[in-house]
Amino acid sequence: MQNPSPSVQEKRDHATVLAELKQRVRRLERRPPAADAGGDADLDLGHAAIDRCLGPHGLARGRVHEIVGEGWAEVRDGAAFGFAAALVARLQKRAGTGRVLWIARTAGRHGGRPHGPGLAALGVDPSRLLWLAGGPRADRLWAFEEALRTPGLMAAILEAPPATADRRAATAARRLQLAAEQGGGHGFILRPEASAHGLGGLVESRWRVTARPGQGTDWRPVWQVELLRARGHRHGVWPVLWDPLNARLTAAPETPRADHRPAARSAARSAAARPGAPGRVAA
Amino acid sequence: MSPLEAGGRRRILSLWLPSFATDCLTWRRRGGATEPLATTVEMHGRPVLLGLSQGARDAGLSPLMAVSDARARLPELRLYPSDPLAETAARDHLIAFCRRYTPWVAADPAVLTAAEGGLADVGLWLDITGCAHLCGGEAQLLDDLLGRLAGLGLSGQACIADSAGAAWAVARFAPHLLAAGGHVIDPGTQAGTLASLPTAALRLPAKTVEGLALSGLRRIGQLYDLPRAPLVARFGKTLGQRLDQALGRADEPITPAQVVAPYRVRLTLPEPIALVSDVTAACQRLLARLVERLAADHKGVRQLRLLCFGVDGAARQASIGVSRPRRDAAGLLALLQPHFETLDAGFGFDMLILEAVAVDELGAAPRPLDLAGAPPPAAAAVDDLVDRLTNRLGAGAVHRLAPVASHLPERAEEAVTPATAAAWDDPATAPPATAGARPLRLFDPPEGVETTALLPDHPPARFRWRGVTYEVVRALGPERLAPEWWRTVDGKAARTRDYFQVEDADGRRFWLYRLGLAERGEAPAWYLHGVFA
Repeated sequence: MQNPSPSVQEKRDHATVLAELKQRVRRLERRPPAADAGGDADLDLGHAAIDRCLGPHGLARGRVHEIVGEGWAEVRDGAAFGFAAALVARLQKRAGTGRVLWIARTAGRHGGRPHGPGLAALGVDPSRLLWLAGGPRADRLWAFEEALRTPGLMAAILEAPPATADRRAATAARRLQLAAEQGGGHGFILRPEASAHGLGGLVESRWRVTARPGQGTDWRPVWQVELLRARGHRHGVWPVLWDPLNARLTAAPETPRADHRPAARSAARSAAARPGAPGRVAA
Repeated sequence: MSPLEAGGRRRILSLWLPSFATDCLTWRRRGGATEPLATTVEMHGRPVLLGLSQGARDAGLSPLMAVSDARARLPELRLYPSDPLAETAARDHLIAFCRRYTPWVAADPAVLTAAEGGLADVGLWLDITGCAHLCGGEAQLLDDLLGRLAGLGLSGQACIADSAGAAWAVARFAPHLLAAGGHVIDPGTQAGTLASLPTAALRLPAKTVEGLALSGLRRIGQLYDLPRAPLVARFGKTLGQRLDQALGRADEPITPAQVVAPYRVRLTLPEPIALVSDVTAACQRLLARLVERLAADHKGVRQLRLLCFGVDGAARQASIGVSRPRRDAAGLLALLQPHFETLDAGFGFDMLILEAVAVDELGAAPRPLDLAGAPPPAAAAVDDLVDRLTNRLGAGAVHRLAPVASHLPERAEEAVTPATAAAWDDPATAPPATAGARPLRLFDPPEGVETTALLPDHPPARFRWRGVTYEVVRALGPERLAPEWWRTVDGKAARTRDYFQVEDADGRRFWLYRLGLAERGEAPAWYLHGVFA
């Protein structure tokens, strides 16, 4: 795009110029256009504070995002899994068709299996979810890359083991990133726990999602969502409530329960709650 | 009147293999059994005979006779269950074999078949008009055919006549003429030959034959001079029609069996190839030819098999399957390509055969132009992704969850192939509405937990699962799920479950249930069945 001369610029209104500049920045960042004819677009979460933190476009498409949970390795809670399912539900609600590939952990009995009625209750349409279960790790990674590269796939989700900070993992992350740029869908990686020296800047954003006590008779899902890092965005912690009917995240009411710990200590908390750590009784 | 009468007569060969089923059986078992054989089928809940060998027929047995009667008459009779698939396939092979004499070969519909499709005998019609001279004459053709069949272990009787009806009649009902296995009725003389045969040789229903016999009409010759009108008035139109057809006065068309040429292309190489790139290039050429043929027939591939024959004589194969019919050469090659690396080339391949094992209808229009009917390109790309994943990771690796009408959580869903419809919002197929919430992940089988509860009816105050103790802060329930009484677990009826949704101090939510009711005197046990978001 040529730089418009000042005389031309005056004739245009500011919104047009701004939109063009934004598109140009997106192209420089090698991101797909904000929205295309198929209805694919970046994802806002519906939660005012998080959306403000993420900027006008929300969760970028054509990128890989990472969601870490507390005890994924042995499924102590479904918070991270539920958050990923909620994002899928929001994507599904926005785009009429479009399918999602979910590459689940090994199909063994230890980790349990995804339950269709539970997903449906969360607002997900299970008939548009394709599952790929089990298989060697390399095959699952290959399948994830193939899925990210496929245009028309709304999102791909990989349940991965804990991150390791070696060069092979970094190469894999870069390959996934390139594949996601090619396909233009959303990529999500679910990991058991946040490691301080994870894959650094190799994912677009990293979230930690942990369980949070609910209130009274409201059994809607409540999570503590922490944005650990995001390219160009600020760190933040929010208590959120998932509203399955409208498929949006809203602010959760502050819990009156005395035993709830402040968010700042959540990192220490999750370190204490590593899988395999001795059992503890809540205070 | 026959359309051919002006130019020349039709010549029809009727071939009858009375012991086809048992001959096939002998051939399959590679045994030259001398004792009488028979195949059996179930009819009205009891086993009856179907196919009979020559020896069994000589002993007076007939098809559809009860097995118990047959055994009483002929204790040494050996019985085998009828195999309809194998027999039909053998008959199709026989039809293909007979095409060496004429392209017009049809299966004769008037043979005995069981309800399940097993064959007792096989009859074929060969329209050999203008073909006999290739074998040196009709008698030579007949000898050649029967000789070849005998070499295959099939005993047959055959007759050549002007009309299908006359040939049929002599092949079955004139043992005195078939001394050497075959008989040729000279053109125009069938009336004399048929005169002495029984009326059943006219392919009439058994009831008509009986009626004729009651009137004293037992031979075909007796019908020739009778006035036609009263005969038809009494015995129906079929009698007149069959008589005319047998005598060649009415035309009887023969519809040849459909020739199904397999979608198979072959490439023979002067020098063996072993490199992946060479195999790819060869496969590309094969695919181009195959796709051209498929496009001409409006077909698409569902399953494709590549056979590679090495110079050492061994054949290697690679197979792929796709979820919707396709014939895009590039896409199919991309699916085949990953298999090339696993083919053991040995000293190299010198012949490749590409075969579409299963094909389906596929419209002529290329997909991008057909915007109304075809799936949009994005959906097609996802279908291709599913095909790639399935071909590499195995069938069933990619699945969808479909609802099942059961209120038991572990039975409320099943894995189906991605192409199967699974409507979760359709009231006809959706799982029944439940009073309580359902978990996001389900443990199957449920895992036992140790609990402490205030009262037997209460949800637990704390429980221990996988070595960790959880304090229950709040609970919702119970939701009582009765077992499905029509199903039993290990021979015992399942017990009632009371489900509770509980939350621990950190907000983790679990789905616990108590198995067994205290008020019925059952010792309750607690299980963890799932986790919530």
